[in-house]
Amino acid sequence: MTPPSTPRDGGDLHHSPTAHGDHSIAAGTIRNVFIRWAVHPSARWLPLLLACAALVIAGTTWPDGPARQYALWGILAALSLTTAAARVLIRRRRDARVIAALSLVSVLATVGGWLAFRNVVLHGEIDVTGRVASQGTQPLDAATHRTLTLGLDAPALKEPRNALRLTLAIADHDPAGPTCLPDSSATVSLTTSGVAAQQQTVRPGGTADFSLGAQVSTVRINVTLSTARGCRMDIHPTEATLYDR
Amino acid sequence: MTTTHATKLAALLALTALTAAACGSSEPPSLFSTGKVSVGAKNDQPGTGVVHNYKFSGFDITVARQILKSVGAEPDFGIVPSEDRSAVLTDKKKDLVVATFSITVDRMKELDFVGPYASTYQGLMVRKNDNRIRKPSDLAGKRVCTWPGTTSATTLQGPDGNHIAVYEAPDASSCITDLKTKKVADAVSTDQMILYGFTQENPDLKVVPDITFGSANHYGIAMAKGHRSDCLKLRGALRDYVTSNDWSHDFTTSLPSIPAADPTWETDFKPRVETVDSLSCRDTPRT
Repeated sequence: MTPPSTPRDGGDLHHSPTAHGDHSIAAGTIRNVFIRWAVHPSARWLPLLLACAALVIAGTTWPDGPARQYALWGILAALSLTTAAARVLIRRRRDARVIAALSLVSVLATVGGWLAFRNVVLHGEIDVTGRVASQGTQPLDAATHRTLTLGLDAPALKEPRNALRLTLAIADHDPAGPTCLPDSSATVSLTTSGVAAQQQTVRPGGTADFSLGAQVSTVRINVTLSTARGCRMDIHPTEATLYDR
Repeated sequence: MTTTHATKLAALLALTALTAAACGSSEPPSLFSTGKVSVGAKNDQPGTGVVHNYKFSGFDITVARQILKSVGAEPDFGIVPSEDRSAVLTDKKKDLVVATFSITVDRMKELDFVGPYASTYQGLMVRKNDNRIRKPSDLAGKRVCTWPGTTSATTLQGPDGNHIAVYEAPDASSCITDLKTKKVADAVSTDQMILYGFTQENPDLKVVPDITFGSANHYGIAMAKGHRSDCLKLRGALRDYVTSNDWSHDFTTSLPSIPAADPTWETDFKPRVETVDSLSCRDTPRT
């Protein structure tokens, strides 16, 4: 194997015998300038500092929501930190091309990670399960006491999203008594002003999806239980997520 | 790597694979492998599970015979009190329990069920000449007898049972004696299927038709966990049974008092196949 050519005393690094024309010369010049900057002692810690700064800012403005939506950001953050750390550890000037490549990958991964993070902040899923207010007494039954209302108020809706995903647990009020789960379901109706009325039926543990359209200030959902005679059931949201369709 | 090393490595890998395969097959031998299955049943519930002249009879007994016959086995019945139904299975004293055993979410965590093979609401039985109790509000202040090991007392303590003086006697026959002979009970409450069975042997008692409590009890064939493939075979057999004419024939043979009193008895007591699929061989109901 032919060893890669190495720069000597910071001279011209672009000596490709196949390079021709103005574009090739310009590209070679840019590469040489970048490599000179990358191997300069003052730039040794810069990619790592940049990656750490992005990580700290992301940590302080963390918007929560499901972990899976941070996968791309996590991969890029890990890549930027790893390559930046590797760049710090390599000190030999004859590894200039490796140093330059590590610096470039680190900076690009930091920028990419930051963009991925901002995308999550602006369009990612927001977990509002703990903010769903429930009105109505439980347990519900098949006769006169069948309905409760779930609501999300302005503070939970401050980040604009155009859809809501709601998962409902429907459980026997007395798990030691006969089970009514096979005969139970709930009709969930969105009754928010300014949004088209929507109705869906969910089985225990099922999920309803509602379109919220433009920004809404409050969300109201009526939940009506359908079950067999004599059954008494508890209904509560196990997951409520705002997201962009 | 030398040939000796390669041979040793291959032998080690083969041993590891065999050990993993042995550990992976955790399911014990089939309950039906000997052709005899020990089944816990009730002996004091006419119509559902009773012993006369050392012979078991009733709808539970017929269901056990029919379902086991479908999988090439036959039952060996033994008496199980209500409060011991779970323990005989977890202690491996019985293979199955078919004893008007209600499927509940809590019980599904400990046991596997095949069912329901019948569904029934909890009802009320009174003396035939006693017309004081016709509607739920008539029960205020009345003494209602139940017995341990069932969900009956719990249901009566719910909103349907306000102001009822519920007490527990040691067993079903004690409650019948309290109601019929001693007259210290105004009524006996448990599942209507069981109550109708009692009226078949006690003509001086009657089931109040318009009073039910709580939700429907779904009776299942219970077994200890760890026999899923056997459980699924029984589920298949039960599906075939409830969709055939045999179910209705056997039900009317064991409990003729129900079709005589309830014109919609098939709708009220016969389980749906979807419910069988939802509750059989699962740790939690399928929804």
